[in-house]
Amino acid sequence: MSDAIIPEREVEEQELYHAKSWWTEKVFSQDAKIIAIQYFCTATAIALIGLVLSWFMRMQIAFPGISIISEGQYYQAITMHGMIMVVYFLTALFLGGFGNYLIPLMVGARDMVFPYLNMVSYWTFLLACIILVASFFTPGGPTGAGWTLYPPQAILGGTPGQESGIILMLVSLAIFIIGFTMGGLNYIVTVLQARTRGMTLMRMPLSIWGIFTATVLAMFAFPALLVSAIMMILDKTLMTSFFMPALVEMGEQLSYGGGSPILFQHLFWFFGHPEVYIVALPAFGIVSDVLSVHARKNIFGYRMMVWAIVAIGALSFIVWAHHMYVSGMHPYFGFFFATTTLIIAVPTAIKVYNWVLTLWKGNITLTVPMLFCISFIITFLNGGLTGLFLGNVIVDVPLSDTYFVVAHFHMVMGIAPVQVVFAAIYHWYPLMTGRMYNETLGRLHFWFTFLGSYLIYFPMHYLGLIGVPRRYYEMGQTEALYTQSAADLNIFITLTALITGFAQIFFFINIFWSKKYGASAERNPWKANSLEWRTPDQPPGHGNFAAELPVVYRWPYDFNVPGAKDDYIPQDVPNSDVELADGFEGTEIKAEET
Amino acid sequence: MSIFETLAQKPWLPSQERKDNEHLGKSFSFESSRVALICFLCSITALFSLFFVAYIGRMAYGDWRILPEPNMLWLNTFILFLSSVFFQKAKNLSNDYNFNRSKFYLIIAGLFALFFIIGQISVWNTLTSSGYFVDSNPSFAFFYMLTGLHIIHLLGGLVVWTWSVFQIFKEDISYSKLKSTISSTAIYWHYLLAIWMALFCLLIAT
Repeated sequence: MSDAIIPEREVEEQELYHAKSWWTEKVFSQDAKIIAIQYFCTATAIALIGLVLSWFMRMQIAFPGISIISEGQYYQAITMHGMIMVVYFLTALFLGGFGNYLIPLMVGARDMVFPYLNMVSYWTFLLACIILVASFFTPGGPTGAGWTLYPPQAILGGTPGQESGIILMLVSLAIFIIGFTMGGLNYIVTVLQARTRGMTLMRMPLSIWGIFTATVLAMFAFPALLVSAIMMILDKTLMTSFFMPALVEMGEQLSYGGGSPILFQHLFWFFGHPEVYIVALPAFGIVSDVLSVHARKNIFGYRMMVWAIVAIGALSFIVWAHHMYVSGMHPYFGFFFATTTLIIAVPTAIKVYNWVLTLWKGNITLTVPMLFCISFIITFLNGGLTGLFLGNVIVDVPLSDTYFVVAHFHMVMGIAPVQVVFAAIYHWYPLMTGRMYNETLGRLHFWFTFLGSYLIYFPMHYLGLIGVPRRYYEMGQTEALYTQSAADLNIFITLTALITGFAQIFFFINIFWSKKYGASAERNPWKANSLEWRTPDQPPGHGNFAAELPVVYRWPYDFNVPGAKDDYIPQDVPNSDVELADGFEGTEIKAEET
Repeated sequence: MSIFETLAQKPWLPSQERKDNEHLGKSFSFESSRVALICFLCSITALFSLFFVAYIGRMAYGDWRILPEPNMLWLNTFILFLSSVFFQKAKNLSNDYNFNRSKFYLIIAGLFALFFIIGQISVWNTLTSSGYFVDSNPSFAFFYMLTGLHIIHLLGGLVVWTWSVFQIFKEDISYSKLKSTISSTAIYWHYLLAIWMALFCLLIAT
């Protein structure tokens, strides 16, 4: 790390690309903010496809007699819903969307370090999405192998989409990874090398710490998915036997032999578990910043929060096999992974305590972003606690492949991060558009989303505890094994899912209506400290800042500092410029020695 | 400053504040493109490491057959080694802004890399004509896949090499940018040589 001292006020400038036409300014833009919006739009569009697929699934589960979709379509729906939501929606939105928008602005850079590569990254992501969606229109349709794409069934006859859907899925994932690598290099290098003067790593907002660490995880985890995708493509197309054991299909011996399906599981989950944190860490960071601003308090235990992010990131690579407890693993192996899984709960719990302690005695304003943050804490706590059940081998085995698992992971990495997405969009909406969102629509959206999602997933724990299995198209005669309440609950969950899904219309109406008719946002409406609110224009223009880059004099959590007149001191305000409260004239602003 | 010292900082303390205010903002004193290259190489290392782990894991099964290593592989290894040596020479000369001599070694280095790729394809031909097909045995499949991936990475390097060759013949160019590109590509070349050596060792040892 460099500790070089440079002359006063001198901030290294980076060469900035200037668009020469409408196309290069608006479409093939190299401006990280435009690229971020492109990521937002594409990820949201594909998420809507994932949402509609979930409705079809739920309709089938609640009303199996009607058979709204066929068995094959049901499996295609669960597969595409899972993969879309985890990879193409949440990963792309948090890293491509918020990463691009927030990193340069928050660290005080004019743009990403490699803007051209950044642009190519987005278009590669779009190509991956198009290939994925194209599989809906190919013979046999998209793959129905389940989002984990387990071999051997993923590429065998009888699995929907085994003709071409699985190949398109794997190719799409490979392209996604290549695109992400280009973006990821930008996020890492911009954070490390393009921070403005005074912006040390430990003065960065936690949003940036979360996005940065998640990107590092992704750079090491995505190769595992790429390895498994390449090997499975070869198994499918060239009849190699990396994952394929000797098999008889329809009475005919296949040419496969000796491959290991378990090897695929190890590779997939070596990616799959860090993927949970690739989504969660940016959410952790963003929620910390939004909570701090709307509670007018510095984040409780900043250093501990950074350490927890780094520790969770490191530990996430040694817990993967807790997804494989029922794969017949050696008991000692299971014991090891159960132990590491429980250890990772420690830094995660520290974060939850610190969020709650940030709220403690804070000057809380229940704005829409704040409401979403609080609901995130509740949802994440719920999902995290059920994770402790599933992390223990002996409890996991009976709960495996039941709705308890579905409830757990939707709570912890579905609903919780999505609530942060909404919190973040409402929080930074005035910055992105220069206008305020509609408060009433925002609150309606919050209550429908929070209560709705809780009513969907909380009852699923009960279904799981009584043993209702996941992934079943219909129960058939096994329905007799369950009480009538299970069927009734499924109907209730489906109706709630439909209402909650449709309620998202409040969000879309709000962002589109407010963009045109919303009240003009005052500068820095939340009175936040971080640099993104210190741009000369709102929304920020090309190059983000004025002729001179801002110089940072403090961390971003100086709220209610004793002696200061205002309850916030932005990062680029030196102590000498801080306006003092009555009775403190002649004194110097000093942070508390905590 | 180590990462642990950085993480131990208390940014809210006045004593730390004074130090932080003087901080340049950069974490590393070297160029950003070099940081990006290091990150990229870390990611590729993860990729090949996982392949190697899968290879070693798969070897344990009873149906594993040993693939004969054609002698051509030794020649190819030597060619790739020479390519790396020439790239290093080109890098050293460009560091001294001696681009006239550097361009010769740069071109030779790229051509040797191309010879390596042709050599590898020739090895594939030899093996397939002897009946060692990709679907015959997992060990053969691994060989074709890993050598193929290595070639793809080398082709990526050759794209940057082509750009450098075009640039070096131009009149008005940014020499510092060209120097930096040649330097980074040389590191990438050495890295791919190291990957090939590891891969080759794995193949001949098993």
